[in-house]
This record gives sequence, structure tokens and C-alpha cells, in this order.
Amino acid sequence: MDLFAQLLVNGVVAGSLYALVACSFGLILGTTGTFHFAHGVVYAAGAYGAYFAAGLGLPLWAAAGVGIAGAALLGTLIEVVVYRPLRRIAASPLVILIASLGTLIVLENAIAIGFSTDAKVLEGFPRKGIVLGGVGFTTLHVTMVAVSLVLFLGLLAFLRWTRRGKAIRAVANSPEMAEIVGIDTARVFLLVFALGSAMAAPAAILIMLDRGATPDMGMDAILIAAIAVIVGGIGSVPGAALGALIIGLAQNLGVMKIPSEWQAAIAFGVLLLVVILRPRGLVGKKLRRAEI
Amino acid sequence: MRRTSFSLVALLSLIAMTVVPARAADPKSYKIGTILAMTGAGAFYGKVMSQGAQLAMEELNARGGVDGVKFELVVEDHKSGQPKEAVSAINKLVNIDRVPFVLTSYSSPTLAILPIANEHKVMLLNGGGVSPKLVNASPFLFHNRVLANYQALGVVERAKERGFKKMAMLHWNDDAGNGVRDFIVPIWKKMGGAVVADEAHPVGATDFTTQIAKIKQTQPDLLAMWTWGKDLGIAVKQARDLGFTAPIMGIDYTPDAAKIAGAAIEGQEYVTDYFNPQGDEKWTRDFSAAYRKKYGEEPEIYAANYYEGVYILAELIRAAKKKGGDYWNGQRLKAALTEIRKFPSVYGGTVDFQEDGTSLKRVALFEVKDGKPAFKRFIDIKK
Repeated sequence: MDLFAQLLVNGVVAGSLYALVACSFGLILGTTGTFHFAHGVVYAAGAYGAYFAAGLGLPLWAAAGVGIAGAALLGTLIEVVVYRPLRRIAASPLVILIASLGTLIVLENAIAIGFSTDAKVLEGFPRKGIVLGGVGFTTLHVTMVAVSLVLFLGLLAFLRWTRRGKAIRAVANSPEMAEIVGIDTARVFLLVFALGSAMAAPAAILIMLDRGATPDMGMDAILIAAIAVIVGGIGSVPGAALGALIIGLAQNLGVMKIPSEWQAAIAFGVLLLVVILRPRGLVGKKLRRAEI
Repeated sequence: MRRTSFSLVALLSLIAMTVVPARAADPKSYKIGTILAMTGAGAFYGKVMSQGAQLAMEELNARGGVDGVKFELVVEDHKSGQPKEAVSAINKLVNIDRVPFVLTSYSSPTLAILPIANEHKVMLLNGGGVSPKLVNASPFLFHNRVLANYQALGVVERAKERGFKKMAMLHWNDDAGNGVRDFIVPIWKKMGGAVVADEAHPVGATDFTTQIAKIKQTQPDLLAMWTWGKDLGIAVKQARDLGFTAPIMGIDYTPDAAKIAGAAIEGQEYVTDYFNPQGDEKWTRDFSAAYRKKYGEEPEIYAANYYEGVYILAELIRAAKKKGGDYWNGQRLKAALTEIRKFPSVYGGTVDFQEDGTSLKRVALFEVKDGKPAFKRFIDIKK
């Protein structure tokens, strides 16, 4: 029973971090149609930005702010410099995907050149171990779940109740239609990239606080996020969060009986199951043939 | 008359050319290949290993290389243990750079390049990979690092001494980690111990909470880790976070891991190659001083092993060259090594190569004190 409770807690913690990256990746994919692999390096840049700022002597909260702002800036920059020109020449989704992958690799190595490849740890979090009824966790784990929950609810509220949020939903629904009613889609795209990038950065900063970070940290994160989005259903932010949570839980609870070396395979197992049984994702809209 | 004398001279010189032993044919430079973890989760290793080799090369070149022929380093990347990357690296090294000697690292990549190295008779010297599977794996493969099974042997002996019975294991899910597990479990059982948990994780994992939860459940006396680099630091930190209180022992320590684990790694014992930057021999201290000056950080065992590797090569070249002929190839270098067998070690003492390609060097028990390794005593490895 102890083991089950511990694995449940571990799963929720892992899942909530996955959810931050998955929701932001899903928001960008659902709105702009860009399979934004370079989101992984934007995520890593958030952590390294915070690390850099902390190195200048800023307190942790301010450093985190710098990291988040830096990630938002980088995300919008990639949209303006890489994706927008490609879209203008009507590049195929495959071309954009490859450009995104290229951007990821180049920027990841740029971080490696700037900061070297050894693990960087962010200090200063009041980290304390708590053992409750045989289940161990830390104040940092609690923070991870809380930050994830707040940002997730904040994003939902923003999309639902604000003018700009509604514009995002409109563009996600149909860019052509949105344009017809006078929404500037280019600006909405920019907003989505800024928002999504800013949302992914806290996850990376929390990971850096917890276990240190290396420049290649974004690769795994983006892989899990992409799986979560597909599992949850492309175009749905709650779906992405749900997908992330399911993967986190499945990875942890799944190894109760089987050896834990299979953990990495579990995420792909979940993906496979969903793709076979419910191709549109758990809460995704039904895909229509020949959608205009 | 003129004619005959001319043909006579020509004939004589022809005979002279075949009879006089061929002079040693020097290459333009001694190009050495390295296949290291330059990027990815183990990039720390690639960094320090290449720095060690680089420093040795620069020192040797500053003294004119070997008889005026200088060394040149070609660094390739196996992306922290990916066999297919290592294979394309060795292909490039043998076909394009045409190196007869490669400094290799990690267990799985080293095993992966063996067939190609054998085919092209390229001598391999490994100063990093520690899998027991590397023993006797190829006639061209040598190790100037004590393989992990012998270090693990030191761990279980120490565990017995401390009166532990129930051992849990956490290890890399690759040739190195699984190899140590396969080697040590029967020995530990013969010593009267029990293995209560055996958990593996992928190389470069960052989340060990599941494995630790399962290990904690079994309430072991000791957690033994056959895990290296920053993985070890993260695992130790997460174990203590989750309220795991039993002692942890291992066979690796890196400053990277200590930095990540912080206070959690304090007091942890481990058995590994003995390398002390402030060692008891002058060469050790000179190396440390030069390394600190060049890179602004303290050298550790991996930098030391690859530094030492280049020096061993220099000695092999000298020995092979003395015998003349075309000596700059893997066959001749390997022959020189099996003949010399004992080389000075930058750890102090010697590197003593065995029949099976492994070597004996100083191995010791350490404890982490104030985040730094504190030497406890040398371990006598019984092979």
C-alpha cells in the first residue's frame, strides 16, 4: 500500500511537470498548426536564463522571472525568424517540422557552447523533505504541482474569458474565418508563442532546482509533451494536461509489478494504445474528412 | 667499361636497399582518435577526458613529440553512449583520418566498435568504460581503468565488514550496469548476503523516484549503485528526498554528481580508482597543476586516465620505433604494449596490464566529506 501511495504521488508530480510542457506545446500546435519541436530548446532556455540571472546575484524569484521572460522572447523570435517566412512561402508541414528540429539542435548546441554541457544546478529553494505516512516528497514537489495547477487554470481562464483568449480560440477554430471577422492572425500567433513559451519555462526551472539541468534537457521533455498532446487530443488544452497526467501516472504505477527499466517504454505504449483505439485522442474533436 | 661500372653501381645500390634494414617510416604526425561523450547526458565525461588527452598531447608536442613527430588529436562523439554513433565515429577515424590508435570510452560504444577496430587492426585503449563484458572482448582492446567488477568487489567486501545483509541495487540499464550486477550478485550471495531489490534505469535518467519507491519498500540495509556520473547524484538526492535512510555505496564519484546531490551525498562511501590530485608522486602533482592552470578546475580520474593514455601511447611509439620498419600501426603498438606491460601511472604507482587486456592500478575506498572525496584506504583487488 505504501508503495502504491508513493508511486501515485510520484506520478502526479511527474505528470504535472509534463502537463506544463504539454499544454504549452498543445496550445501552439492547436492554434498555429506548427509542430514546434524547438519548443524543447525554448524550455531549456527558460532554465538557463534563470541560471544566468541567478549567477548575476538576483534572488531566485527574480531569476525565474528573467528565465520566463527570456523563454517568451526566444519563442516569439523563432516564430518571427523561422516559421513566419516559411509560412509565407507556403512551406509544407514537413518542411516546417524539419526547420523546427534544426532550430532545436542549433540552439541546444548554442546553449552548450555558452554554458558548457555539465549539469547546472539552481540553488536557493527552501527545499525540505517531508515523510507523511510512509510517503516521501519535498516542498519542491508540492511547488511543482501547485505551479502547474495555477498556470493550467490561469491559461484556461485566459482562453475562456478574455478578448485575446477568445481571439486565440477563434484562430484555432478556423484561421480563415478569424481573418474574415477582422482578427490579426499574425499577432495572435505571436501571442500564442509568447504565452506557450512562458508557460513551459517554469517546468524547466523547477527541474533545474530539483535535479540540475543540461542543455539537452528539452529533447525528452518535448517528446513526452508531443505524446501527451496526441494522447489527449490535438487542439484541446485540458486534453494535453490529461494526457500528461496519464503518462506520468502510467509510468510510475505501471512499474509496480514489472521491472522499472521498462518505464521509458510505457509512454509509447500509452501512445500506441490511444492511436489504435481512439485516434482523435481522449478528448479531441472528431476529425472530419476533408476539413476546409 | 663505363657502362659496366654504372650497372654495377646500380646493382649494388639495389642490393643495399634490400639488405640494410628499412629505416623506421615516420608518419607526418601521430594522429590519435578519441570517441568520447562530447554531448548528451554524459557530456561531463567527454569534456574532462578530452581535456586530459589534450593536455598530454600539448605537453608532449612542446617537447617535440616523439623524435620531432608531433601528436594530433581527432575528437569524435558517441553522444553519451550511443553505439551507432560510436560506429560511425570509428568508421570515420579508420577510413578518413586513418588512425591506428583510438582512445575509447563507455562500455556499449566500445563493444560496438570492436569488429571494425579488429578488421582494421586499430588498437583501442579504454580509460572510462567499466563493463565486465569488456574483459577479453578483443585482442586489440586494452584498459587503463580498473573495470567495475573489481571495484564492486571492494564494495561488497566493505558491506560485509559493516555487517550488512540485505542489499538493494540500482544500476544503469546497459552493458556496464547490468554487467556489474551479473558479476556481483553470485559473489554477494556466496558471502551470505541477500539481494532484496534489483532496479535498473536508463543511462542519463533524471527521475529515479519510481525505482527508489520500490527499493524503499524492501527496507534494505544498503543500497548499492552501479551507476555513474550525474545520474548517481540525482538518484542519491531523490532517495534522501523520499525519506530513504539506509546507507548508499557506489563505485563512482564526480564533482558533477556531488554538486547536484549537495548535502544528500555526505558520508557516502565508494570504491573507485585512486586518483588524488595532491598525490604522493611528483608526476601526479605536476599534472594537477598544469590541468588547473589550463582549465581552471581540479582534475579527476577520467581526465587523469586519458592524460595517462596519451603518455602510454608515446611510450608504445618509442618502443615500436626502435624495432624499425613501418611501426605506426595497431599491430605494432599492441605488440609493444604486451611486451612492456608495466607503465608509470599518473595516479602514482604503475598501470600493470594483464593478459586479458585489463590493468591493475590503485583502487581505494573513499568517503564523501564536505562534498569532496576523502581517502580512507587502498583496496587490494584479488583477481
